Amino acid sequence: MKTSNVFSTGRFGELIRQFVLHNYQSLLMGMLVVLGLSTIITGIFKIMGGVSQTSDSFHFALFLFGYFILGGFYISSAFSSFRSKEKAFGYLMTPGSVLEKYIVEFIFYPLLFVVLYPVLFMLGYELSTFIASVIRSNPFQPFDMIGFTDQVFYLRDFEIVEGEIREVSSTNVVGLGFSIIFAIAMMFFLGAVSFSKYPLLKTLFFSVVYVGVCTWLVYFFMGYLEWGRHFRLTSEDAFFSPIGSEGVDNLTKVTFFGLFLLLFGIVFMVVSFMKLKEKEV
Amino acid sequence: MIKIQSLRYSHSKKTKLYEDLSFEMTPGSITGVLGKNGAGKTTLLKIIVGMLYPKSGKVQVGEYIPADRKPSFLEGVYYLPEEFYLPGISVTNYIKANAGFYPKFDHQQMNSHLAEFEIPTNVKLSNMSYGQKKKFLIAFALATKCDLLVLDEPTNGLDIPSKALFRKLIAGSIEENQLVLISTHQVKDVENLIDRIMIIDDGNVVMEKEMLDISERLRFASVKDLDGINPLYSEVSPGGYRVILPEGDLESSVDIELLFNAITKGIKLDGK
Repeated sequence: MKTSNVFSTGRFGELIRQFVLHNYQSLLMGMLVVLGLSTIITGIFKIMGGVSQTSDSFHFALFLFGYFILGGFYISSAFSSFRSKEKAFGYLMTPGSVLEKYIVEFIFYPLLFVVLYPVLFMLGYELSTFIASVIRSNPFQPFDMIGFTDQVFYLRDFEIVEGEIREVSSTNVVGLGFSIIFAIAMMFFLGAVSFSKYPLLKTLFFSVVYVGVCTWLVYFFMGYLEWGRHFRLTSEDAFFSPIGSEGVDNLTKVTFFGLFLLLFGIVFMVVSFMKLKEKEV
Repeated sequence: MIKIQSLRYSHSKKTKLYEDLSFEMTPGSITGVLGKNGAGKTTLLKIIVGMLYPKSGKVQVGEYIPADRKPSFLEGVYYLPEEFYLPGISVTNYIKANAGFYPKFDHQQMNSHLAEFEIPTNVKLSNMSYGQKKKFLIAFALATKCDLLVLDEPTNGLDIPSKALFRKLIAGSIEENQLVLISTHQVKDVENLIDRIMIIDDGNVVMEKEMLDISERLRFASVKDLDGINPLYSEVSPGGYRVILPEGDLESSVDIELLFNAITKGIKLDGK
Protein backbone atom coordinates (compact mmCIF):
# COMPACT_ATOMS: atom_id res chain seq x y z
CA MET A 1 0.00 0.00 0.00
CA LYS A 2 1.34 3.38 -0.98
CA THR A 3 1.57 5.88 1.85
CA SER A 4 1.04 9.60 1.43
CA ASN A 5 4.06 11.78 0.80
CA VAL A 6 2.47 14.64 2.73
CA PHE A 7 1.46 13.01 5.99
CA SER A 8 1.51 9.45 7.23
CA THR A 9 0.69 8.57 10.83
CA GLY A 10 3.14 5.67 10.77
CA ARG A 11 6.02 7.84 9.62
CA PHE A 12 5.03 10.62 11.98
CA GLY A 13 5.11 8.11 14.84
CA GLU A 14 8.60 7.05 13.76
CA LEU A 15 9.74 10.69 13.74
CA ILE A 16 8.34 11.21 17.24
CA ARG A 17 10.07 8.04 18.41
CA GLN A 18 13.32 9.14 16.79
CA PHE A 19 13.15 12.55 18.47
CA VAL A 20 12.44 11.05 21.88
CA LEU A 21 15.15 8.39 21.62
CA HIS A 22 17.72 10.92 20.40
CA ASN A 23 16.80 13.62 22.93
CA TYR A 24 15.19 12.05 26.00
CA GLN A 25 18.21 12.78 28.19
CA SER A 26 18.22 16.49 27.31
CA LEU A 27 14.43 16.68 27.70
CA LEU A 28 14.50 15.14 31.16
CA MET A 29 17.44 17.30 32.16
CA GLY A 30 15.64 20.43 30.91
CA MET A 31 12.51 19.57 32.91
CA LEU A 32 14.56 19.02 36.04
CA VAL A 33 16.37 22.33 35.54
CA VAL A 34 13.10 24.28 35.14
CA LEU A 35 11.56 22.54 38.15
CA GLY A 36 14.71 23.11 40.21
CA LEU A 37 15.07 26.77 39.21
CA SER A 38 11.39 27.45 39.92
CA THR A 39 11.68 25.83 43.34
CA ILE A 40 14.92 27.58 44.26
CA ILE A 41 14.01 31.07 42.99
CA THR A 42 10.49 31.17 44.41
CA GLY A 43 11.85 29.55 47.58
CA ILE A 44 14.53 32.24 48.01
CA PHE A 45 11.92 35.02 47.75
CA LYS A 46 9.61 33.26 50.19
CA ILE A 47 12.35 32.64 52.76
CA MET A 48 13.81 36.15 52.35
CA GLY A 49 10.31 37.64 52.68
CA GLY A 50 9.66 35.60 55.78
CA VAL A 51 6.47 34.12 54.36
CA SER A 52 5.36 30.79 52.98
CA GLN A 53 3.51 32.44 50.09
CA THR A 54 4.43 35.45 47.99
CA SER A 55 1.79 37.76 46.59
CA ASP A 56 -0.04 36.68 43.45
CA SER A 57 1.22 39.61 41.39
CA PHE A 58 4.87 39.04 42.36
CA HIS A 59 4.56 35.33 41.65
CA PHE A 60 2.90 36.08 38.32
CA ALA A 61 5.64 38.56 37.32
CA LEU A 62 8.28 35.96 38.19
CA PHE A 63 6.38 33.37 36.18
CA LEU A 64 6.11 35.65 33.14
CA PHE A 65 9.78 36.62 33.36
CA GLY A 66 10.79 32.96 33.27
CA TYR A 67 8.19 32.19 30.61
CA PHE A 68 9.64 34.66 28.13
CA ILE A 69 13.33 34.36 28.99
CA LEU A 70 13.49 30.56 29.18
CA GLY A 71 10.96 30.29 26.36
CA GLY A 72 13.13 32.47 24.15
CA PHE A 73 16.18 30.33 24.87
CA TYR A 74 14.38 27.00 24.50
CA ILE A 75 12.31 27.72 21.40
CA SER A 76 15.36 29.29 19.72
CA SER A 77 17.05 25.91 20.08
CA ALA A 78 14.44 24.25 17.84
CA PHE A 79 15.67 22.87 14.51
CA SER A 80 18.98 22.21 16.26
CA SER A 81 20.02 20.09 13.27
CA PHE A 82 20.58 23.26 11.27
CA ARG A 83 23.23 24.49 13.73
CA SER A 84 25.75 22.16 12.07
CA LYS A 85 26.16 20.80 8.56
CA GLU A 86 26.74 17.26 9.84
CA LYS A 87 23.47 17.20 11.78
CA ALA A 88 21.59 18.77 8.90
CA PHE A 89 22.51 15.88 6.55
CA GLY A 90 20.96 13.36 8.89
CA TYR A 91 17.89 15.48 9.49
CA LEU A 92 17.12 16.26 5.87
CA MET A 93 17.82 12.69 4.73
CA THR A 94 15.47 11.19 7.33
CA PRO A 95 12.50 9.81 5.43
CA GLY A 96 9.74 12.13 6.53
CA SER A 97 7.78 14.90 4.84
CA VAL A 98 8.45 18.57 5.57
CA LEU A 99 5.06 18.79 7.25
CA GLU A 100 5.77 15.83 9.54
CA LYS A 101 9.21 17.17 10.49
CA TYR A 102 7.74 20.62 11.09
CA ILE A 103 5.00 19.28 13.36
CA VAL A 104 7.52 17.25 15.37
CA GLU A 105 9.63 20.36 15.99
CA PHE A 106 6.48 22.34 16.79
CA ILE A 107 5.33 19.76 19.35
CA PHE A 108 8.70 19.41 21.08
CA TYR A 109 9.62 23.08 21.17
CA PRO A 110 6.92 25.81 21.29
CA LEU A 111 4.02 23.56 22.27
CA LEU A 112 5.92 21.55 24.86
CA PHE A 113 7.35 24.67 26.47
CA VAL A 114 4.12 26.68 26.44
CA VAL A 115 2.24 23.81 28.09
CA LEU A 116 4.90 22.31 30.33
CA TYR A 117 6.52 25.42 31.75
CA PRO A 118 3.42 26.60 33.70
CA VAL A 119 3.01 23.06 35.10
CA LEU A 120 6.65 22.84 36.18
CA PHE A 121 6.60 26.36 37.58
CA MET A 122 3.50 25.59 39.63
CA LEU A 123 5.08 22.37 40.89
CA GLY A 124 8.23 24.27 41.84
CA TYR A 125 6.16 26.97 43.48
CA GLU A 126 4.19 24.47 45.55
CA LEU A 127 7.35 22.59 46.44
CA SER A 128 9.03 25.78 47.67
CA THR A 129 5.86 26.67 49.64
CA PHE A 130 6.04 23.26 51.25
CA ILE A 131 9.74 23.67 52.08
CA ALA A 132 9.19 27.20 53.45
CA SER A 133 6.26 26.03 55.57
CA VAL A 134 8.36 23.18 57.00
CA ILE A 135 11.23 25.57 57.81
CA ARG A 136 8.88 28.07 59.44
CA SER A 137 6.65 25.41 61.00
CA ASN A 138 3.66 27.03 59.30
CA PRO A 139 0.76 25.01 57.92
CA PHE A 140 1.07 24.33 54.19
CA GLN A 141 -1.10 26.70 52.15
CA PRO A 142 -1.72 25.48 48.62
CA PHE A 143 -1.84 28.03 45.83
CA ASP A 144 -5.31 29.42 45.16
CA MET A 145 -5.54 28.63 41.47
CA ILE A 146 -9.24 29.43 41.08
CA GLY A 147 -8.91 32.84 42.72
CA PHE A 148 -5.77 33.58 40.77
CA THR A 149 -7.19 32.66 37.36
CA ASP A 150 -10.31 34.68 38.09
CA GLN A 151 -8.05 37.66 38.76
CA VAL A 152 -5.75 37.24 35.76
CA PHE A 153 -8.11 35.93 33.08
CA TYR A 154 -10.50 38.91 33.24
CA LEU A 155 -10.01 42.57 32.45
CA ARG A 156 -12.39 44.47 34.71
CA ASP A 157 -13.61 48.05 34.74
CA PHE A 158 -14.94 49.54 37.92
CA GLU A 159 -16.71 52.75 38.83
CA ILE A 160 -17.65 54.33 42.09
CA VAL A 161 -21.38 54.74 42.46
CA GLU A 162 -22.65 56.38 45.65
CA GLY A 163 -19.39 55.62 47.43
CA GLU A 164 -19.44 51.95 46.38
CA ILE A 165 -17.04 50.31 43.92
CA ARG A 166 -19.02 48.49 41.26
CA GLU A 167 -17.81 46.28 38.45
CA VAL A 168 -19.16 47.64 35.17
CA SER A 169 -17.52 45.27 32.71
CA SER A 170 -15.57 42.04 32.74
CA THR A 171 -13.76 40.87 29.60
CA ASN A 172 -12.13 37.48 29.23
CA VAL A 173 -8.51 37.98 28.11
CA VAL A 174 -7.52 34.32 27.76
CA GLY A 175 -7.70 34.63 23.97
CA LEU A 176 -5.48 37.72 23.99
CA GLY A 177 -3.01 35.98 26.29
CA PHE A 178 -2.95 32.97 23.99
CA SER A 179 -2.33 35.22 20.98
CA ILE A 180 0.56 37.02 22.71
CA ILE A 181 2.21 33.75 23.73
CA PHE A 182 1.57 32.18 20.31
CA ALA A 183 2.97 35.17 18.39
CA ILE A 184 6.12 35.39 20.53
CA ALA A 185 6.69 31.62 20.47
CA MET A 186 6.29 31.55 16.69
CA MET A 187 8.68 34.48 16.35
CA PHE A 188 11.42 32.50 18.14
CA PHE A 189 10.46 29.40 16.15
CA LEU A 190 10.91 31.29 12.89
CA GLY A 191 14.26 32.60 14.15
CA ALA A 192 15.32 29.05 15.00
CA VAL A 193 14.71 27.77 11.47
CA SER A 194 16.08 30.87 9.75
CA PHE A 195 19.36 31.47 11.56
CA SER A 196 21.97 28.76 11.97
CA LYS A 197 24.21 30.85 14.25
CA TYR A 198 23.02 32.86 17.31
CA PRO A 199 19.31 32.41 16.57
CA LEU A 200 18.14 34.02 19.83
CA LEU A 201 20.12 37.23 19.43
CA LYS A 202 19.32 37.54 15.75
CA THR A 203 15.62 36.90 16.39
CA LEU A 204 15.54 39.61 19.04
CA PHE A 205 17.36 42.06 16.79
CA PHE A 206 15.18 41.42 13.75
CA SER A 207 11.97 41.43 15.80
CA VAL A 208 12.85 44.87 17.21
CA VAL A 209 13.45 46.13 13.67
CA TYR A 210 10.29 44.41 12.38
CA VAL A 211 8.01 45.63 15.15
CA GLY A 212 9.53 49.11 14.81
CA VAL A 213 8.83 49.21 11.08
CA CYS A 214 5.28 47.86 11.56
CA THR A 215 4.57 50.37 14.33
CA TRP A 216 5.85 53.23 12.23
CA LEU A 217 3.74 52.08 9.28
CA VAL A 218 0.62 51.82 11.44
CA TYR A 219 1.34 55.24 12.92
CA PHE A 220 1.97 56.68 9.43
CA PHE A 221 -1.31 55.43 7.98
CA MET A 222 -3.57 55.61 11.01
CA GLY A 223 -2.11 58.70 12.68
CA TYR A 224 -0.27 60.86 10.17
CA LEU A 225 -2.62 60.23 7.24
CA GLU A 226 -5.53 60.12 9.70
CA TRP A 227 -6.97 56.85 8.38
CA GLY A 228 -7.70 55.99 12.00
CA ARG A 229 -10.70 58.29 11.99
CA HIS A 230 -12.54 55.83 9.75
CA PHE A 231 -12.14 53.22 12.49
CA ARG A 232 -13.00 55.65 15.29
CA LEU A 233 -9.49 55.24 16.66
CA THR A 234 -8.57 58.75 17.65
CA SER A 235 -5.90 58.15 20.26
CA GLU A 236 -2.42 57.59 18.77
CA ASP A 237 -1.58 55.28 21.67
CA ALA A 238 -4.32 52.94 20.55
CA PHE A 239 -2.29 52.01 17.48
CA PHE A 240 0.50 50.58 19.61
CA SER A 241 -1.08 48.74 22.50
CA PRO A 242 -4.41 47.90 24.04
CA ILE A 243 -3.30 49.75 27.19
CA GLY A 244 -3.47 53.07 25.37
CA SER A 245 -6.92 52.47 23.94
CA GLU A 246 -8.69 54.83 26.28
CA GLY A 247 -12.34 55.22 25.45
CA VAL A 248 -12.57 52.03 23.41
CA ASP A 249 -14.52 49.31 25.16
CA ASN A 250 -12.50 46.39 26.52
CA LEU A 251 -14.06 43.68 24.38
CA THR A 252 -13.29 45.58 21.14
CA LYS A 253 -9.67 46.27 21.98
CA VAL A 254 -9.02 42.80 23.37
CA THR A 255 -10.57 41.20 20.27
CA PHE A 256 -8.72 43.57 17.94
CA PHE A 257 -5.30 43.02 19.47
CA GLY A 258 -5.96 39.31 20.00
CA LEU A 259 -6.70 38.82 16.31
CA PHE A 260 -3.85 41.12 15.32
CA LEU A 261 -1.30 39.06 17.27
CA LEU A 262 -2.86 35.77 16.21
CA LEU A 263 -2.34 36.85 12.62
CA PHE A 264 1.31 37.67 13.40
CA GLY A 265 1.74 34.20 14.89
CA ILE A 266 0.15 32.51 11.89
CA VAL A 267 2.35 34.47 9.48
CA PHE A 268 5.48 33.49 11.47
CA MET A 269 4.29 29.88 11.50
CA VAL A 270 3.75 29.73 7.74
CA VAL A 271 7.03 31.48 6.98
CA SER A 272 8.95 29.09 9.24
CA PHE A 273 7.37 26.14 7.38
CA MET A 274 8.42 27.63 4.03
CA LYS A 275 11.93 28.20 5.40
CA LEU A 276 12.19 24.55 6.40
CA LYS A 277 11.11 23.51 2.92
CA GLU A 278 13.84 25.45 1.16
CA LYS A 279 16.76 24.29 3.35
CA GLU A 280 19.89 23.05 1.56
CA VAL A 281 23.10 21.61 2.96
CA MET B 1 17.98 4.81 -12.23
CA ILE B 2 19.85 8.13 -12.20
CA LYS B 3 19.25 10.44 -15.11
CA ILE B 4 20.91 13.84 -15.22
CA GLN B 5 20.36 16.16 -18.16
CA SER B 6 22.02 19.54 -18.75
CA LEU B 7 22.69 20.08 -15.06
CA ARG B 8 23.87 23.55 -14.16
CA TYR B 9 25.11 24.29 -10.67
CA SER B 10 27.35 26.87 -9.05
CA HIS B 11 28.22 27.68 -5.46
CA SER B 12 28.41 31.38 -6.27
CA LYS B 13 27.58 33.61 -9.22
CA LYS B 14 31.23 33.96 -10.20
CA THR B 15 32.32 30.31 -10.21
CA LYS B 16 30.43 27.74 -12.21
CA LEU B 17 30.84 24.13 -11.20
CA TYR B 18 28.61 22.34 -13.68
CA GLU B 19 27.42 24.02 -16.83
CA ASP B 20 25.96 21.21 -18.89
CA LEU B 21 26.40 17.91 -17.12
CA SER B 22 24.53 14.90 -18.43
CA PHE B 23 24.78 11.20 -17.67
CA GLU B 24 22.73 8.15 -16.82
CA MET B 25 23.33 5.29 -14.40
CA THR B 26 21.54 1.99 -14.11
CA PRO B 27 21.11 -0.16 -11.00
CA GLY B 28 23.17 -3.22 -10.27
CA SER B 29 26.59 -1.66 -10.02
CA ILE B 30 29.10 -0.22 -7.60
CA THR B 31 30.28 2.96 -9.23
CA GLY B 32 33.34 4.89 -8.18
CA VAL B 33 32.98 8.64 -8.63
CA LEU B 34 36.45 10.08 -8.97
CA GLY B 35 37.72 13.59 -9.47
CA LYS B 36 40.37 16.02 -8.31
CA ASN B 37 39.87 18.11 -5.20
CA GLY B 38 37.18 20.68 -5.87
CA ALA B 39 35.93 18.87 -8.97
CA GLY B 40 32.48 18.77 -7.43
CA LYS B 41 32.11 15.09 -6.51
CA THR B 42 30.44 15.77 -3.17
CA THR B 43 28.26 18.48 -4.71
CA LEU B 44 27.12 16.05 -7.39
CA LEU B 45 26.28 13.42 -4.76
CA LYS B 46 24.35 16.00 -2.74
CA ILE B 47 22.36 16.98 -5.83
CA ILE B 48 21.60 13.31 -6.52
CA VAL B 49 20.25 12.77 -3.00
CA GLY B 50 18.36 16.10 -2.96
CA MET B 51 20.45 17.96 -0.40
CA LEU B 52 21.26 20.67 -2.94
CA TYR B 53 18.99 22.09 -5.60
CA PRO B 54 20.30 22.38 -9.16
CA LYS B 55 20.20 25.84 -10.73
CA SER B 56 18.75 24.31 -13.89
CA GLY B 57 18.59 21.01 -15.73
CA LYS B 58 16.86 17.77 -14.92
CA VAL B 59 17.84 15.38 -12.16
CA GLN B 60 15.84 12.22 -11.77
CA VAL B 61 16.42 9.25 -9.49
CA GLY B 62 14.04 6.43 -10.33
CA GLU B 63 10.66 8.09 -10.67
CA TYR B 64 11.56 10.92 -8.31
CA ILE B 65 13.01 14.40 -8.51
CA PRO B 66 15.42 14.38 -5.54
CA ALA B 67 14.94 18.07 -4.71
CA ASP B 68 11.30 17.31 -3.79
CA ARG B 69 12.61 15.16 -0.90
CA LYS B 70 9.50 13.02 -0.91
CA PRO B 71 9.52 10.51 1.94
CA SER B 72 9.01 7.63 -0.50
CA PHE B 73 12.20 8.76 -2.27
CA LEU B 74 14.15 9.19 0.96
CA GLU B 75 13.12 5.70 2.10
CA GLY B 76 15.04 4.30 -0.85
CA VAL B 77 18.18 6.41 -0.54
CA TYR B 78 20.92 6.34 2.07
CA TYR B 79 23.63 8.98 2.02
CA LEU B 80 26.72 8.59 4.17
CA PRO B 81 28.54 11.94 4.14
CA GLU B 82 32.24 12.34 4.80
CA GLU B 83 31.51 14.37 7.93
CA PHE B 84 28.58 13.11 9.94
CA TYR B 85 26.91 13.46 13.31
CA LEU B 86 25.79 10.71 15.65
CA PRO B 87 23.76 11.42 18.78
CA GLY B 88 24.95 10.46 22.26
CA ILE B 89 22.85 7.31 22.47
CA SER B 90 23.65 3.61 22.36
CA VAL B 91 23.92 1.57 19.17
CA THR B 92 20.75 -0.32 20.11
CA ASN B 93 18.76 2.87 20.64
CA TYR B 94 20.04 4.36 17.39
CA ILE B 95 18.86 1.32 15.47
CA LYS B 96 15.50 1.43 17.29
CA ALA B 97 15.13 5.11 16.46
CA ASN B 98 16.13 4.99 12.81
CA ALA B 99 15.61 1.53 11.32
CA GLY B 100 11.83 1.99 11.13
CA PHE B 101 12.19 4.60 8.40
CA TYR B 102 13.58 2.06 5.95
CA PRO B 103 10.99 -0.54 4.90
CA LYS B 104 13.60 -3.10 3.80
CA PHE B 105 15.84 -2.74 6.85
CA ASP B 106 17.53 -6.05 7.63
CA HIS B 107 18.16 -6.38 11.39
CA GLN B 108 19.92 -9.70 10.99
CA GLN B 109 22.37 -8.22 8.51
CA MET B 110 22.91 -5.22 10.78
CA ASN B 111 23.82 -7.45 13.71
CA SER B 112 26.11 -9.58 11.60
CA HIS B 113 27.92 -6.50 10.17
CA LEU B 114 28.28 -5.02 13.64
CA ALA B 115 29.85 -8.26 14.81
CA GLU B 116 32.21 -8.37 11.82
CA PHE B 117 33.28 -4.77 12.38
CA GLU B 118 33.64 -5.56 16.11
CA ILE B 119 31.42 -2.67 17.18
CA PRO B 120 30.15 -2.93 20.76
CA THR B 121 26.40 -2.39 20.99
CA ASN B 122 26.30 -1.17 24.59
CA VAL B 123 28.60 1.82 24.06
CA LYS B 124 27.33 5.32 23.36
CA LEU B 125 27.91 6.36 19.77
CA SER B 126 29.37 9.67 20.88
CA ASN B 127 32.06 7.83 22.85
CA MET B 128 33.27 5.85 19.84
CA SER B 129 36.27 6.73 17.70
CA TYR B 130 35.74 8.28 14.27
CA GLY B 131 36.62 4.96 12.61
CA GLN B 132 34.15 3.02 14.76
CA LYS B 133 31.40 5.53 14.05
CA LYS B 134 32.10 5.25 10.35
CA LYS B 135 31.99 1.45 10.47
CA PHE B 136 28.71 1.64 12.35
CA LEU B 137 27.21 3.91 9.72
CA ILE B 138 28.49 1.70 6.89
CA ALA B 139 26.83 -1.29 8.57
CA PHE B 140 23.62 0.71 8.99
CA ALA B 141 23.71 1.91 5.37
CA LEU B 142 24.08 -1.64 4.06
CA ALA B 143 21.30 -2.94 6.34
CA THR B 144 18.83 -0.34 5.02
CA LYS B 145 18.87 -2.21 1.67
CA CYS B 146 18.14 1.10 -0.01
CA ASP B 147 18.02 1.09 -3.81
CA LEU B 148 20.59 3.88 -3.88
CA LEU B 149 23.52 3.99 -1.49
CA VAL B 150 25.71 7.05 -1.70
CA LEU B 151 28.97 6.85 0.21
CA ASP B 152 31.23 9.88 0.33
CA GLU B 153 34.81 8.96 1.24
CA PRO B 154 33.67 5.83 3.11
CA THR B 155 37.16 4.51 3.81
CA ASN B 156 38.48 7.71 5.43
CA GLY B 157 39.37 6.92 9.01
CA LEU B 158 39.20 3.15 8.62
CA ASP B 159 42.19 1.04 9.59
CA ILE B 160 43.69 -1.43 7.08
CA PRO B 161 41.74 -4.54 8.20
CA SER B 162 38.53 -2.49 8.26
CA LYS B 163 39.12 -1.29 4.72
CA ALA B 164 39.40 -4.90 3.55
CA LEU B 165 36.29 -5.79 5.53
CA PHE B 166 34.45 -2.82 4.04
CA ARG B 167 35.19 -4.11 0.53
CA LYS B 168 34.11 -7.60 1.51
CA LEU B 169 30.85 -6.47 3.09
CA ILE B 170 29.88 -4.15 0.26
CA ALA B 171 30.64 -6.78 -2.37
CA GLY B 172 28.71 -9.40 -0.42
CA SER B 173 25.65 -7.31 0.46
CA ILE B 174 24.73 -5.51 -2.72
CA GLU B 175 21.80 -6.83 -4.67
CA GLU B 176 20.88 -6.55 -8.34
CA ASN B 177 18.39 -3.72 -7.83
CA GLN B 178 20.83 -1.55 -5.87
CA LEU B 179 23.16 1.14 -7.09
CA VAL B 180 26.12 2.15 -4.95
CA LEU B 181 27.95 5.40 -5.61
CA ILE B 182 31.30 5.73 -3.89
CA SER B 183 33.17 8.97 -4.04
CA THR B 184 36.76 8.71 -2.88
CA HIS B 185 40.24 10.10 -3.16
CA GLN B 186 41.70 6.84 -2.00
CA VAL B 187 41.36 4.93 -5.23
CA LYS B 188 43.37 1.95 -3.99
CA ASP B 189 40.69 1.32 -1.36
CA VAL B 190 38.03 0.69 -3.97
CA GLU B 191 40.16 -0.74 -6.77
CA ASN B 192 38.87 -4.27 -6.51
CA LEU B 193 35.40 -3.23 -5.43
CA ILE B 194 33.91 -0.96 -8.05
CA ASP B 195 32.62 -2.37 -11.31
CA ARG B 196 32.04 0.99 -12.96
CA ILE B 197 34.03 4.20 -12.92
CA MET B 198 33.01 7.79 -13.48
CA ILE B 199 35.65 10.50 -13.64
CA ILE B 200 34.63 14.12 -13.28
CA ASP B 201 36.93 16.88 -14.43
CA ASP B 202 36.31 20.53 -15.12
CA GLY B 203 32.56 20.23 -14.65
CA ASN B 204 32.17 17.33 -17.07
CA VAL B 205 32.06 13.56 -16.96
CA VAL B 206 35.24 12.76 -18.82
CA MET B 207 34.93 9.00 -18.46
CA GLU B 208 32.14 6.65 -17.52
CA LYS B 209 32.85 3.00 -18.18
CA GLU B 210 32.53 -0.53 -16.90
CA MET B 211 35.76 -1.75 -15.34
CA LEU B 212 35.46 -4.93 -17.37
CA ASP B 213 35.25 -2.88 -20.54
CA ILE B 214 38.38 -0.93 -19.57
CA SER B 215 40.33 -4.04 -18.71
CA GLU B 216 39.37 -5.57 -22.05
CA ARG B 217 40.45 -2.53 -24.04
CA LEU B 218 43.53 -1.41 -22.13
CA ARG B 219 46.42 -3.11 -20.46
CA PHE B 220 48.03 -1.78 -17.30
CA ALA B 221 51.57 -2.88 -16.63
CA SER B 222 54.86 -2.02 -14.94
CA VAL B 223 57.94 -1.99 -17.18
CA LYS B 224 61.62 -1.33 -16.61
CA ASP B 225 61.97 0.98 -19.60
CA LEU B 226 59.93 2.26 -22.48
CA ASP B 227 62.14 0.84 -25.24
CA GLY B 228 60.22 -1.02 -27.84
CA ILE B 229 56.78 -0.20 -26.48
CA ASN B 230 54.46 2.58 -27.40
CA PRO B 231 52.33 3.30 -24.33
CA LEU B 232 49.23 5.46 -24.42
CA TYR B 233 50.33 6.89 -21.09
CA SER B 234 53.25 6.35 -18.75
CA GLU B 235 54.37 7.46 -15.32
CA VAL B 236 57.72 7.03 -13.65
CA SER B 237 57.56 4.63 -10.74
CA PRO B 238 60.20 3.11 -8.44
CA GLY B 239 62.26 0.78 -10.60
CA GLY B 240 60.72 1.75 -13.92
CA TYR B 241 57.43 2.90 -15.36
CA ARG B 242 53.75 2.25 -14.97
CA VAL B 243 52.16 2.22 -18.37
CA ILE B 244 48.82 2.02 -20.09
CA LEU B 245 49.03 0.02 -23.26
CA PRO B 246 46.49 -0.45 -26.00
CA GLU B 247 44.54 -3.69 -26.08
CA GLY B 248 46.82 -6.67 -25.83
CA ASP B 249 46.55 -10.40 -25.58
CA LEU B 250 46.60 -10.36 -21.81
CA GLU B 251 43.77 -8.97 -19.72
CA SER B 252 45.06 -6.99 -16.74
CA SER B 253 43.50 -5.50 -13.67
CA VAL B 254 42.78 -1.79 -13.93
CA ASP B 255 45.21 0.57 -12.22
CA ILE B 256 42.66 3.22 -11.33
CA GLU B 257 45.21 5.75 -10.15
CA LEU B 258 47.09 5.56 -13.44
CA LEU B 259 43.87 5.66 -15.43
CA PHE B 260 42.67 8.68 -13.43
CA ASN B 261 45.93 10.55 -13.97
CA ALA B 262 45.87 9.85 -17.69
CA ILE B 263 42.25 10.93 -18.11
CA THR B 264 42.58 14.12 -16.07
CA LYS B 265 45.69 15.06 -18.07
CA GLY B 266 43.58 14.91 -21.18
CA ILE B 267 45.11 11.73 -22.64
CA LYS B 268 42.76 10.10 -25.15
CA LEU B 269 42.83 6.43 -24.31
CA ASP B 270 40.17 5.03 -26.54
CA GLY B 271 37.43 7.57 -26.83
CA LYS B 272 35.13 8.32 -23.94
